Amino acid sequence: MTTSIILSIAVIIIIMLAMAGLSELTYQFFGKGKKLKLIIRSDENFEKKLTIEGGDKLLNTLQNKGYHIPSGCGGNATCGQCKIKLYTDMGTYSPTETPLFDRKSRSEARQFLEKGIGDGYTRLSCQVRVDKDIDIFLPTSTLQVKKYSARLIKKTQLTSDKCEIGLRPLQKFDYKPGQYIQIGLPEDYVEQHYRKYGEQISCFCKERGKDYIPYTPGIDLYRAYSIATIKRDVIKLITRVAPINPRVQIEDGGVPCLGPNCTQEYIQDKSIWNLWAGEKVRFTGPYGHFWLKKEKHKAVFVAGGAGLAPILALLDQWFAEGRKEKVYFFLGERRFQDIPMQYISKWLHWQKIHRSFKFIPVMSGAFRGDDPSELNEIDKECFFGTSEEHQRDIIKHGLIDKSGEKWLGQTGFIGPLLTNYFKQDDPKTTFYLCGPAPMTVTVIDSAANTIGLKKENVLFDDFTGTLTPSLDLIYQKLIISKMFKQLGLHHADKDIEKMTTILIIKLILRDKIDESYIFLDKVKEILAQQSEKESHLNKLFKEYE
Amino acid sequence: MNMLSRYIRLISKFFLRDNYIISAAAGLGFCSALAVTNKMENSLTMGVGVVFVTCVSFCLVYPFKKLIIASGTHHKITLLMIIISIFVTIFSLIVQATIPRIALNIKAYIDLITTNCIVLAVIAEGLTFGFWDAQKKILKACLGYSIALIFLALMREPLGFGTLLNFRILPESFPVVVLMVTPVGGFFALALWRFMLRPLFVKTGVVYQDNVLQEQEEVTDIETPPKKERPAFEIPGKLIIIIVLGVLLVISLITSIKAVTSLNSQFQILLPIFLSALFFDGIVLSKLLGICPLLNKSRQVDAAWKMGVAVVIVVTLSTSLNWLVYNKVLIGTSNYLSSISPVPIRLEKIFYLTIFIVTIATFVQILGVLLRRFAMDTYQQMGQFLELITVNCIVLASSTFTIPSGLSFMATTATAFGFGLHWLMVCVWLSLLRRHRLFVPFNTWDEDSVAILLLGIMAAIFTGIGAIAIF
Repeated sequence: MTTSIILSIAVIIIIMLAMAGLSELTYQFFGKGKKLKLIIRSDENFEKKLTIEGGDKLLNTLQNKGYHIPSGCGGNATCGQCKIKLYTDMGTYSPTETPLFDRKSRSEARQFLEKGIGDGYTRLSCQVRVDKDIDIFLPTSTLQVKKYSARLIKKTQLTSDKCEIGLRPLQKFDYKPGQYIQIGLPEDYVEQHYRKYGEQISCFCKERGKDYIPYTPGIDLYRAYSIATIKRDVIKLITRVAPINPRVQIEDGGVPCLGPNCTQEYIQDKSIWNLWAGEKVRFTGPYGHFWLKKEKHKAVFVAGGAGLAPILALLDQWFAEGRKEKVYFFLGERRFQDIPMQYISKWLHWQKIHRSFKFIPVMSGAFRGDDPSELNEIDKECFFGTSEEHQRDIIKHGLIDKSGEKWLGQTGFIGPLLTNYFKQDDPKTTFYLCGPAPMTVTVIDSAANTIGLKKENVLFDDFTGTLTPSLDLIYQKLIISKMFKQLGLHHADKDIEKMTTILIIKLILRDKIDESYIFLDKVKEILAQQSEKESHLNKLFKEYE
Repeated sequence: MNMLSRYIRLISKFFLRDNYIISAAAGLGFCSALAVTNKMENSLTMGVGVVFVTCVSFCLVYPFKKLIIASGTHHKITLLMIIISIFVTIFSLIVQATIPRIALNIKAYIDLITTNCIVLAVIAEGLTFGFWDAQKKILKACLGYSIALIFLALMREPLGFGTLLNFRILPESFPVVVLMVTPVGGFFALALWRFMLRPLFVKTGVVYQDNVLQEQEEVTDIETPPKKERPAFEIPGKLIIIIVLGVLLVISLITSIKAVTSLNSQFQILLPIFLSALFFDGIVLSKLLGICPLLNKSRQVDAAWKMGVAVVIVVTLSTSLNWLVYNKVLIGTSNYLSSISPVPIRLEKIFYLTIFIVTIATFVQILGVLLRRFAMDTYQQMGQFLELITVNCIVLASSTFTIPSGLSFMATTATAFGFGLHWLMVCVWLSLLRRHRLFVPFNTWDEDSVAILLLGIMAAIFTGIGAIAIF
């Protein structure tokens, strides 16, 4: 009995092995591909070279190498999820995959394949057979990024639009202060958001000339948040709700954007879509290189809005390490009500015990159109809402007058203020900036102009990807201004000022990086000319104004 | 309260969004959904079967994840198929032992869980995730499938029999819609469900309404004349007629003039078998198999032709190969084993599914490799279709339907050839019909529903032809 059962099983296994052996033999003799090179590119100059065996489908090749491309149908060209951008011409669409591409991508592909225009085209990776060296693009999310999950354990309202949330990671999570994480937005929130505001968002995008990306089910949306603490067990983040159009505030019916700091609507209690304590949150990270420098140096921290978070972490680290050098902390906010009351007493306390620390809040009143030095109702409410001791502290430091009616601290923008605090060049002064782009760019510009800040001493967190080229532009502009002075033109100062406003306000802050480079090149060209420099310059400036 | 409504929404979305049968744009797993849903008990059994097979076989596959990935693509599908087919066999035996009445009805379709597109798709995808994530995805897909089956049965059984789970729920006097019980009714029921449920899903937010922009794009797509598509094989119309007439003449000569007796007698048997496989008892229109590739590949005439030809070749050759393996190897060894062991051991009763699927997978792999090596042109034309065929239910079905019932070699081959040609015919026909868009569809989802409706009409026509007695 047993022998016969064993025998029968053996027979079945032998048959299968024979089949497998047959197919393996055929493969070994006829189907073996040659060795090829595969280059994977991604954002942030990621590049990886792999040696692969040709002849297989790209999807399988990548899967064998550990890169998991989502594919619902298992390589049957049915689901259309495994789309991959190729930089190499791997032939046109196979008949199976054509229906899965829309007209736009089809015409792009045609352009790339026939005329060589554009930098690549998309295909289903399960239909691309690798028969030559290939060069592909993978989004960072597909590359090896560690995924974590955490529970929301704390949620505090800081100001009317800022919120502090505490996450307890469920796995061991290690990071350096100043780094950020990306939180996966719950898909149903995103969908609800687009259902509610989709039309308004697309209107706004049209107005601004941006591409409107409609909600596509199944695609995870991640938003970046900086970690605002140096503690490992509970990650503290600061979220801020911003309107998509800064001119229409949310109180006036503006649309909150799903931008880097905007899931707050879902995090607040009053919303029906709230993340409540205990809810599971997925996140990836840590990312970024916004770290404190190791060597001794004088530091200037500039924070604004939700950009406060990494600066908080860096300040914490600064004092935890017991550094003794001079520290300036500029906090740019619109009104008094936007300063988190919980933190202000902490900073004032630091100022008391550390002689080296100086806290300078600057109220701009931007976009609200009123004078920040007159406290309005909400400001007063915030002020009198704090404890007596805090009020006394704030008054003692000369930020608010005794009656609680007036803001006595700095007003305006941070850039022009810098000359009040820094006189001479100090090559080791380092600026740490995080905040809205207008603030960051203007501060860098005026610091470079007035106190001779070195380019390598400017550190920031480049969320949008435009800050790094902006920095380069500003320093190029600085060189050009020097050329102006050397040439000794008539209205050199005026021209420099004009060039600065055009470059920063008209071009950089509108994300026109390429045009900015063209503009600077044009200015350089004119300066290199022999004659009629001034009239040419005037013409150029008029053109851009 | 708010949280409750959110959870309800989340759960319903979990099962119903991207449900391969009811709501996903690219549908998979239609075959069994149509065939077994005329009774609630059948649907339940089928649903349990799919969930069981997928979950359990994934548990077995997962530890060998590294091995399966390392063994290369040419073994991956074969390995997965072997494991799946073993569990299908186990489930099939359990069903036969416990509920023989139902097993009798849907035995054929339980066997075909092996090639159910959903099973292989989720297992292959699951290999790229962690264990529990993958199980969650598998549960989502399989339970979604079961829910869809239950939905369909909820409609078909009361209308067709007046009963639900064999309890009478409609009065005897209620007119019974026989259409709902027949295979043809399956198509209509599914198309109807998809049309009826869609607005409801969109309204409740279970399904996300596609963007308005895309609709416009699709409309402009129609306005520009699509680039002229020519079928892969260009033969002038006259020639086709002459060839067909000639073939008919030869056939009639052989059948009526008894010149060569043996040949004549063979044809007397084979021709009816072939014709019935080709027209009257076709694999798509009356056995309701091979529908997922049909729907996907009939979007373009060119693809339909190539896929059809590939199917004809693979179905015919692999079925005859299977016959050899089954009758010579399997039955031979069983006979030998039975003779030496005290209890009779019939391997072919248990392992036929595994053997069939291994043979098919190996055959397709070898064919692919050889074509790629020696006939690159042909391979570039048809290669990609060839590899899709391993997991195609038609190929396995044409083996399981004919070989275990003990047909002769020639009869099996003729049936398989008929099945293949039938698939080719329906696919090309459907793609031609779809090109003439009956109404401007908003999305692929609606278009697929229309295609299912078209299939239903075609099935109705063929049932009509089948009623005419030719022989």
